[in-house]
Amino acid sequence: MKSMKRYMMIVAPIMLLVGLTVAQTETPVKKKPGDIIFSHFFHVQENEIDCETCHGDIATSTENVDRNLPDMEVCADCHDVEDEEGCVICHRSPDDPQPSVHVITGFAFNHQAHVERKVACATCHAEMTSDHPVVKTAISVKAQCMQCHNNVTAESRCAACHGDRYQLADIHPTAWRHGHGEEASAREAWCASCHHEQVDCQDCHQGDNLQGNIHELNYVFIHGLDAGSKNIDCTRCHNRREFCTDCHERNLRIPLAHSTAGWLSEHGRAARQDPENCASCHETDDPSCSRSGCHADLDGIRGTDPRFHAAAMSRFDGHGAWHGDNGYVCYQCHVNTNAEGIGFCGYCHR
Amino acid sequence: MIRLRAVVLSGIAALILAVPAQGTGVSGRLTGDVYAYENPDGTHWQSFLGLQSRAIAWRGSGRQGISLNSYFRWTGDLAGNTPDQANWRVYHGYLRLDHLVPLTRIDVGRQFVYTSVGSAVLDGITANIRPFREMEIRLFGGSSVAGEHNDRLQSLSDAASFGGRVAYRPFSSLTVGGNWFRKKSDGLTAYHRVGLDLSHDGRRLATYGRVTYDIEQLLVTDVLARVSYRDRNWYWSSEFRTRQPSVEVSSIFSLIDAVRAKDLRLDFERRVIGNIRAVGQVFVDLLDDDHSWAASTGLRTTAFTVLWHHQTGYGGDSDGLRGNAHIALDTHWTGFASANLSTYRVQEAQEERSEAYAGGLGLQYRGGAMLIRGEGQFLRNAVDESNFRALLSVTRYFGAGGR
Repeated sequence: MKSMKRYMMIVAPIMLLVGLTVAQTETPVKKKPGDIIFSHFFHVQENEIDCETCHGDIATSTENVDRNLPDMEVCADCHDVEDEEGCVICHRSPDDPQPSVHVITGFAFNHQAHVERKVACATCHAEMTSDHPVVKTAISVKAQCMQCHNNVTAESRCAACHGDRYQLADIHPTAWRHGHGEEASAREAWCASCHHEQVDCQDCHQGDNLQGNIHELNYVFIHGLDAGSKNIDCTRCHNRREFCTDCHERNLRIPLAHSTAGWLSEHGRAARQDPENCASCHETDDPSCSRSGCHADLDGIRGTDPRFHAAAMSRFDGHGAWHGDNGYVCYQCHVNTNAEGIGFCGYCHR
Repeated sequence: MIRLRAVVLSGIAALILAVPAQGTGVSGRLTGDVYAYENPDGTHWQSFLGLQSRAIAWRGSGRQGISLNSYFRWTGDLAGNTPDQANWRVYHGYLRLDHLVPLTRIDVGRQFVYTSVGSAVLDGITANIRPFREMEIRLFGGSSVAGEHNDRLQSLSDAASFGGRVAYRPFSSLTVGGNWFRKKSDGLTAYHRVGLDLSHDGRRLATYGRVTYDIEQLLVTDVLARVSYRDRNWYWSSEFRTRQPSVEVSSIFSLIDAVRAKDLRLDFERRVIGNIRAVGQVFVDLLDDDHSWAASTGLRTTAFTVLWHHQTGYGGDSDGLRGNAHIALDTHWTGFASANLSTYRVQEAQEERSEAYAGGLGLQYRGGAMLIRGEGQFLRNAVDESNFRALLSVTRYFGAGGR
């Protein structure tokens, strides 16, 4: 019954997730291609036509709503647009020809400002000048914008491109910090569109909290509360064995709970509830648990001391990796006698 | 053991010398901090010097390119009171080869790698392959970096770690991922896990789920499900997680029959008026024979935050009040202040609550490529100690070429 309950605890949320996901997953829409057939590769790479030949007003365009796509008159400079049999060269529907589709994005983009600063077209529209005949994206991805908008070459305020449409709180609400690790793992590219990948991760994850950005300034006094509960998972950012002992050992500080009268009888329950907390100070080579006698395997008789690893022992049955490795954790308590019927080896080799 | 410092510095110098060849460039930041404070063991002038840089050595057609990315830091105490602390720390230092092999990005060197089942700083190699638009494969391997010996390369026999992730995106909003991570440290396996995750980010509703299976322990160690909703005025997120405490299998505590925790969490944010948002959170942690819960609520604007927090349960109990202000004085200057007050009890046997206060007041200048920040901090704990602290931080951003 208990295993059934445990099984349901795992399966129920998965089913809920899958259900929600399937319910809201959009049916892939087959977008109807625009009417215009155009190859940048053919024009730019094979015929070395300058961008300005077709996008003549680009140097004076200051708004993202400006239509910077060429009219048919521009095409007529090279193509015979009066030849009705030649319509199919550029139009998918020659019986109902349409102009090219002007996609208006929500960004504030000033072509003139970029051209005046001698930013080459290919800096943002790299795909247009690539060797690939088919161009999938005409507009630069954000990561390319951030190459220059890095607070040195150009400003990187959100509002510089997004105006008042978004605030930082719209992208990162207060609860964002809690779940951002999963988001970074699942959608790395989305994070990288603003953040310089490892740098921004490591500023926080390996930083020193000098400015109280990660924890409030008095956290040094109250962190024991979080360490003792599971409200915050310290191990998401800290290797507790290294991080905690650095301060606790240097300043000879033990958790307050250890000095209470009932700790000896209580510590077993605490260890079962939160072994991560114990492991942050007491490690494999720490003799205080196993070698002081309390948890030592004194008689070497299997199963007589259930105070340790009672239910978890099954995974050590048989010849696992531990069997021939004297560095394995088993041998912190048990002695490898290497002889049948004697001590630890005698548990199985009778 | 090989010292990394010389290798990384030589690499950066070589690449900087390559500037200004066509398409090359270097950008980054140099940061210096001095943090002065007093502890019972004396006065400290903890100093930090960090250099983060990205040098583009070559840029080919399309996405092709070679760059060196590095971030390292020196720490020391100018007062000489913490002799063990002075050290070099190489956060990352890797050569990125972009699309030299078609559809592949390769990083070689020290780097931070993560999947949904584990993470590590690795001295090794990562390959990101995108065989087609909907699929991304990441494979990595090398030796994990020990925090206390950050300036050295660990041998593969002591720290060989490897793993990968396969992500499939049938739609732009949906990602299904398979993850694998085997991490070794100190000659023993730290963990060996596989997992599946599913992420869907719709226009308003987002869902995330993850299941992690520990191959060493032969059990499902972590299940997480989260659903969140957002629109112009509302954000809420609810989460359920059941987790087996994660202890490295080399630890003696890995043998304990640990209690699985079941966590429930609800977060919300509501735009009340203009830029004023009400925020709140409730967290409940259920164990077999015990539980704890926490709640917080407050108001947040672009310049101010006020939050009250309460926590009670087996970890102790506390109440806290936190306030932050971040006010732009003009285009260059920003003033900021913070105040924290907590009353707490870390165990039931403690009859009276302890109190802790902290506050900070500072000024920041950002102009040109400079960022200068000065801050005074005050901390007080009735049981423990009180002290004043001062922080001065100067950052110089730099950049040349790169277009």
